[in-house]
Amino acid sequence: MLRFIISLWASKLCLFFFKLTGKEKDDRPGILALRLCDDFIDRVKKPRLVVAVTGTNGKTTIANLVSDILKLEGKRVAYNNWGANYKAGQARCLLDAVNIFNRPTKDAAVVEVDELLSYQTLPWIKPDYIIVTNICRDSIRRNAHQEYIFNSINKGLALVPETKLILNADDPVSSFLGERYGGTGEEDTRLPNKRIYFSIADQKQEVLPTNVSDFPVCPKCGTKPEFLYKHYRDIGKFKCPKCGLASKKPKYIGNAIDYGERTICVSEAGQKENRYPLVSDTIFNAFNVVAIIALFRELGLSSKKLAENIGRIKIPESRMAFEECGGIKIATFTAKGQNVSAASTVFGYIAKEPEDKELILLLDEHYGDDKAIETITWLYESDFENLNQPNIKKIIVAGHRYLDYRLRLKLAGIPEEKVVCVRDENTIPDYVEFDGIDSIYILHDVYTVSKAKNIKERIKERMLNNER
Amino acid sequence: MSGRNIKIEVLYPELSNLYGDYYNAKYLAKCIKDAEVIYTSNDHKPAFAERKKIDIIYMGSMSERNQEFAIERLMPYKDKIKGLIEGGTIILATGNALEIFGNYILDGERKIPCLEALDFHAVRQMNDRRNCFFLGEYKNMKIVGHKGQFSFCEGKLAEGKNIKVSGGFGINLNSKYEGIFYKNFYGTYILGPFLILNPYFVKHILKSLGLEEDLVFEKEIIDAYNDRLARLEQPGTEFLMGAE
Repeated sequence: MLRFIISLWASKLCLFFFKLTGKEKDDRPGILALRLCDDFIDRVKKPRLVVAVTGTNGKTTIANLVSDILKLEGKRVAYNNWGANYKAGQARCLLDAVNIFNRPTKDAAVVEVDELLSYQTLPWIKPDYIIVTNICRDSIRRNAHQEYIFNSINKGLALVPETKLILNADDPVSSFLGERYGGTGEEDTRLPNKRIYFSIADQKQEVLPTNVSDFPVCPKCGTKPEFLYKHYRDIGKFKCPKCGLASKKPKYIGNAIDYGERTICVSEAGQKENRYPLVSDTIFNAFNVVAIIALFRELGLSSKKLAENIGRIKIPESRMAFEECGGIKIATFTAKGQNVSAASTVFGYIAKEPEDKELILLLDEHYGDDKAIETITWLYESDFENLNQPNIKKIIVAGHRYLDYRLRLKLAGIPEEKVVCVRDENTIPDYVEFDGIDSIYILHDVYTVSKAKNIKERIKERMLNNER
Repeated sequence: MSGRNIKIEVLYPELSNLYGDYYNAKYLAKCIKDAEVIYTSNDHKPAFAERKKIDIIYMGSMSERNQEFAIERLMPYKDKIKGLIEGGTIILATGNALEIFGNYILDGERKIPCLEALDFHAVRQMNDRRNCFFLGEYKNMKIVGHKGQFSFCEGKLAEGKNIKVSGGFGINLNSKYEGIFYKNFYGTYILGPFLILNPYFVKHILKSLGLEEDLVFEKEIIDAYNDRLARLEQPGTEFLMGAE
């Protein structure tokens, strides 16, 4: 106990100084707390409402949206919604929710939890709700494959039977959390957690082909599943033709999406529909919105109030931002190198946007580090083939892996004259041509946000200097 | 390139394409004129079992569950597979696909029977993932790549002196050699697009088929290979990686 008190006081003091110097979004106070007391997360008192968010893609976006809505509802909220989702970030979040006597000072905590390590801290956090965005292909080195991540999250859920799960029924992998099909040699199991499913009805979207499938076979019998529809990749509604395993029945269903008006109609347990604003014109963010609708409706917030609140919140700029300069739209997108599903989903979105555009890829894991070595398996899992579109006029890639990209883009069938691959990233703006294009997309990793901003500013500078 | 109608069978691509592995077969096929690629899904009888002459059989990485599905599906053809290996058919298995051809996989107290085509077995530990960049040498070729695995091989064929390791770990943590090679069976834990990473190994396979011409995008593939090799050969290179 003494260990915990020392840890609490020292890390509170540390947090105070970080806040004082404007470094609020820093997880070092959490590192200190854990160094002094390794079970700090377990011992620290929790606010009345604790929402955990985990999954492969969309965690940070959802954690931001949830904490913003809670704040709009007048709640005092602790959060780690800047991507600090390891133990230290979680400790930093919960540390902020108590006073020096370990009494809660906040009404709620929104804890973003790394999916691989979730089994370690979920039993300590004991969330009231956990939103799982999806389980998709991610870094091979860290996350191995979806089955491994699925089992990791399930291991944690088994230790928090009271936690209610909010799951994406259109993700054939994560929607089966709380259950496990033996398939080969193991017993089927079912956890007692209450599960609430959300989904989006068929939007008759054109789904681009993928190099690798996120859900190639039924986990129960190994048969190729049949999809009734897909939204993107393997996100959609399926049924196994052999054993009958099928998508879960959702309580919350996003029906008509109006991308022009940026609205979605959501029905609740088959009842009347309510119209809600969307936070962007992408299908993957529509899923994020339906997930938070499910959470807040379960918490009892009225549809009207919820719609008002959603209309007042925004996606964090580090994830997606648009700007217009000299009549050309410049978009920055987090696409995450090494994360196959994130990169391919963004490739698909850009490919389907009708305007003429140029594309800049800043996806190296060790961007700008000439000595770094990287695994390139993800290049051959990701759907670079979908970038072979007539309205993508040029693809510019720079960085120490430029030779790998040159080969990959050639193998994807991208015409040589459209591709610029150079080692020096500083030269990227020099290769942008403004004539005949409507937009420029800069795709960057979570670690290259400032690099992307810098490149954007230099492109704008060239435009404003009339270099077009 | 001249091709004499080379047939490549990709076994269970829906199961065994975990890390972009199928690009190995795709690239190989691009390099061989008129090559025929047969993609056999796990609910179909393999082409090699249909008395068709197959020149190359390819399988890539799988999740552990899908690996067990694949073993189950291939079990009726275990004798045929053993015969093909002894007869010199080229079989390339990347990642944990190679384990299927051994005697069994040990996973804790579970013993999963495999095809018993080659004399080795694998030991799987799902709570211990190992990653490394890889540099080695085989028949005067520098071999590069990346390994990430929960299992290692042991037994007679795992003692073979195949790819001599100079960076990273071998077929098991005590071995200085990587790969299970036997006649024209090439099994390696190097993941994903192994052939794209190793153009000289592609040439080695083509030579086994009596083909000795240029590769597709030869300049680009060799430039990328040389660049990676130069990085891996730098003094002080860290080969072992944590899971972060």
